[in-house]
Amino acid sequence: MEIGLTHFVILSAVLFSIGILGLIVSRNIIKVLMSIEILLNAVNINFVAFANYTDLGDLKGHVFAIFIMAIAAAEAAVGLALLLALYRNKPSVDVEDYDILNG
Amino acid sequence: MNFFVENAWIIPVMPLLAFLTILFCRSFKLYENKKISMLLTVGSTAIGLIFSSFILTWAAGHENALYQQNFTWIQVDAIKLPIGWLVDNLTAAMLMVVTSVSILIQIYSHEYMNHDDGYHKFFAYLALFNFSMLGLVLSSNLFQIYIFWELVGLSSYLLIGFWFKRPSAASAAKKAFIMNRIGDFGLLLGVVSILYFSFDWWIINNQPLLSFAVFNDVANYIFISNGPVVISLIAFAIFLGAMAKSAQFPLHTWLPDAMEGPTPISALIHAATMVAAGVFLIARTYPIFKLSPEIMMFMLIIGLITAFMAATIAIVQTDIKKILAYSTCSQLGFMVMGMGAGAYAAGLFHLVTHAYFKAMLFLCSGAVIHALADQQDVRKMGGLRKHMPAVAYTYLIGTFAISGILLSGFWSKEGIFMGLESGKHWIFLITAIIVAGMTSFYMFRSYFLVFEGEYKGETKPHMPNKVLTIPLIILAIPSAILGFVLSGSLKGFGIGSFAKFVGYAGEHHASLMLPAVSLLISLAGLFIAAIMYWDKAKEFINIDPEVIKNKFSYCYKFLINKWYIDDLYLGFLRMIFLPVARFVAWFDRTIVDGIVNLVGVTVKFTGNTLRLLQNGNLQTYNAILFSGLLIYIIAVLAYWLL
Repeated sequence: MEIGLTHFVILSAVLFSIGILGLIVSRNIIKVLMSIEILLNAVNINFVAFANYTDLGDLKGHVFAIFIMAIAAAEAAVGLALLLALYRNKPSVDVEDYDILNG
Repeated sequence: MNFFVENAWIIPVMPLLAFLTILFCRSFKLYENKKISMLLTVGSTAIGLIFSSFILTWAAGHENALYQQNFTWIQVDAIKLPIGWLVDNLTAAMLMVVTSVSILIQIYSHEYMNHDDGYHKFFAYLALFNFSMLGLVLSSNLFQIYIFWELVGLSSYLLIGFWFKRPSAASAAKKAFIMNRIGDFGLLLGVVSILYFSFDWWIINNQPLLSFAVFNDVANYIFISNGPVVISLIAFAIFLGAMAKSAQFPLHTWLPDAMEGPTPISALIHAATMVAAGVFLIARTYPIFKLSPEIMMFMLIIGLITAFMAATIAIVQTDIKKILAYSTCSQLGFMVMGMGAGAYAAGLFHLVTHAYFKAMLFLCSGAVIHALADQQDVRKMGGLRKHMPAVAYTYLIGTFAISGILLSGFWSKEGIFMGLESGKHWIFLITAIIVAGMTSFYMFRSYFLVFEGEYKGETKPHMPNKVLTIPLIILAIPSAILGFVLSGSLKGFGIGSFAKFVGYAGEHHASLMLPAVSLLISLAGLFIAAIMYWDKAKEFINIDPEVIKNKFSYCYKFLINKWYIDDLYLGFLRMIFLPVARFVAWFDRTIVDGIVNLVGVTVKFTGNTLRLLQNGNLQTYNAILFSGLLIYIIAVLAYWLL
């Protein structure tokens, strides 16, 4: 079986869904951050796949993927720093404990 | 001479300054001396009097004297409302009347109000009134007249309610104000509609808006471009204002109640000057009335009804001030009748003579009331001639004048009768002459009851002070001779010179018939009053008023209840006005407020509901976010595929 664009897109969609599911169902803040990384990676796969199959001779998709990786690293750093700050105020990693912004 | 005319604005401004000074400098040590207020007020009026005298001579020396000065006061696009002053013969005559009567009354008030707590306040209000009245007279345009019209209404309100601690005075003041509002509204409608219908004319001719100097052309323009109905409606609206201010039926009921104010006020405002402002307004806007025969007829009818009704009521009154108040009402009816009959000059002539003798009569009654410690009931007076001869004789002169027996009232009433005759209004003429006879009757009745016979009161009357009697004596002179002097000649019974002075000279009759008849009727009134109320005449023929009263008890009841007009108003208020007002209040509180509250409640409810969505839970937000995305994707897919 030839592996084509469709497979990559399906993989990306599955990863994306897993990420969303993780975002919605997980209570642990670390897990939420990991889910976000999965979401970003799903998007990366999409970019690279499309760049490889439809945009021959150009590197836009690849460059985007690299940018996203860099941003994701930065985001993870910021997110973890925020988490640490939060943790000092309230020693908990459960997102349900952080609902003081309710209406 | 020109200096006085060109600076006529000083006349009203001086009283205004006096008013402000008294009002704001009360805490100065100087004011511990009571006379300061009086001197300020009298001084301001004296300046006015000097100016008025020179203006009068200036006006008399010029053919068609007219001077006006206008400044733009309010400007909105093309509408430039001017403010200024206009001096012509009518202004000159009115200025003279107002300043000369009010200066005497101010001197009189110094004694009359001397022991009153509100002495300074009284003079402040007097100065305010003077300012407004003189401003009204000098107004150069209809809009400005409306402003001063309201101001005289305000000062009248303040002075009627001067003793506001008495509930009757407070409610009389309110009544006067509300009744006048009805008329003021009419006047405002008139002013606005004149402006509306003649706006193009003012723009094309580049004249200051609503200026009186060109009113004739404006009236003609409105008549030609909009037809007789519009001009009649405008005339009616303006006449409504005059009706309320000049106490014409059916808006007259405030004037008798206004007698709750101090007597000098009754003399100045509610007899001599302010109530005549209505007639003055008619005179000022006469070009409009001349074009509307219907409203002239209406004026005639209203004037006649007022004159007749007030005279009948005056016959049965027992309060000396009420008698004079109803007689004022009746005489104003005469003036309006004169205006309506086209006898413009005669109406104004009567205004001038009436101002003097009625002011004097009121001041006499004030002196009597003062001497008898606030007793106003004529049944408890009598024989006062021996105690205060000066007051009695001046009152007698006033009575002769108002009754139309040879003194000034005779000449001016003659003019009105002649106007009615030349207009061929026979029914009006006959009724007017009968009313003149009734005037003579009730005025002599009051004279006999107060000054002749035996004294029937309890308190001992004391001699009035010189400050009270000297203004009376000065006022007696114009009351006696003014009619004769102004009518211009001994020979013809006409109003020649005054008529020529104010313009619109009527026809000059030399007939002796009319004056003779009216004089006879007036003498008959005097005779009947004498045999009913004068003990010396009663020795020959005696008619007891009590017998007549019992014989015509229904009639008497009708008159003593003032034709039931007040009761009619009260009934109208209770049966129609208040239910409507209550319904409107209910509508406002339930429906209008209900709608407003509904909006508030809806917003609050929506907010409360939506608030539940924002629970601060990260997972919920995510779930909502992505389910929204999902729904969108499904919708797009369905659109593509189907």
